[in-house]
Amino acid sequence: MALATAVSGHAGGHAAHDRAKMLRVGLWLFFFSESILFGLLLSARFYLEGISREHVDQFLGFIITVILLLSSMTAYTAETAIEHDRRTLANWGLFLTILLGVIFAGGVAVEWSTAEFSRHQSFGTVFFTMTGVHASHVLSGILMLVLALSQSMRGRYTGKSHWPLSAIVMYWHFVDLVWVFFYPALYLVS
Amino acid sequence: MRPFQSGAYVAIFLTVLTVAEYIFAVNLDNAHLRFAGLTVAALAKAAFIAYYFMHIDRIWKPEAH
Repeated sequence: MALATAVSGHAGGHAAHDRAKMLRVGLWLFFFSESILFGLLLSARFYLEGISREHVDQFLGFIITVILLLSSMTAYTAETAIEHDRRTLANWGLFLTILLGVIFAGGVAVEWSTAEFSRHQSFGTVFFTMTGVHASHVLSGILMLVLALSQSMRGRYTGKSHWPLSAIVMYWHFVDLVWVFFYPALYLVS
Repeated sequence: MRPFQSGAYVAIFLTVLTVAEYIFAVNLDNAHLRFAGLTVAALAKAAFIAYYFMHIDRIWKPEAH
């Protein structure tokens, strides 16, 4: 009986590991499919405009880029904190990530409202499409972070069970990673 | 506390690289050299984010729990 319980426990452990691995690989496949979308937008930008561009507010672009990088740090802190069962720190990390994400989205909105080019120009087309698609990912990331924060405040995540929070944080890092390529392509090359 | 510190160090490194990228792009006249430098910087930043923040190595390592 004890042996049967031990064997079944061992098999259960393996099943849990396999499931965790499957979830992780599935998430990375999702990132891969998203990368194709963002990669196509990036190649369209260089196909239409080469390495030239219209005038954009480079300093604003720099500031929102640093803000997004800092949000990745707070998101990482939230994930690490929950892994160590430090729920209060995790909640603060999530809250700050949401706040920085909202500031980033606000910066993009300012850029859109002050842009000196039209969406009918080729650079305008790629600029508004690239920043628009990216901003929609930022907004969906913020929405998911709000859900994660509400779940975390109810104590739904522990050091041993926090995959949803980890997945949302990884999605947020992916959004940051995309911007790492979009920012120089739109604001710095010329 | 080491995991928290490593996250902070990576974020500082990424911020420094972003500042360097900005100064490099604003001050360099050669467009092709600027493009090459920005590409290298972006790839380096992406590699750091994928490895330290997104834990890409966990795809081929056994799960912790």
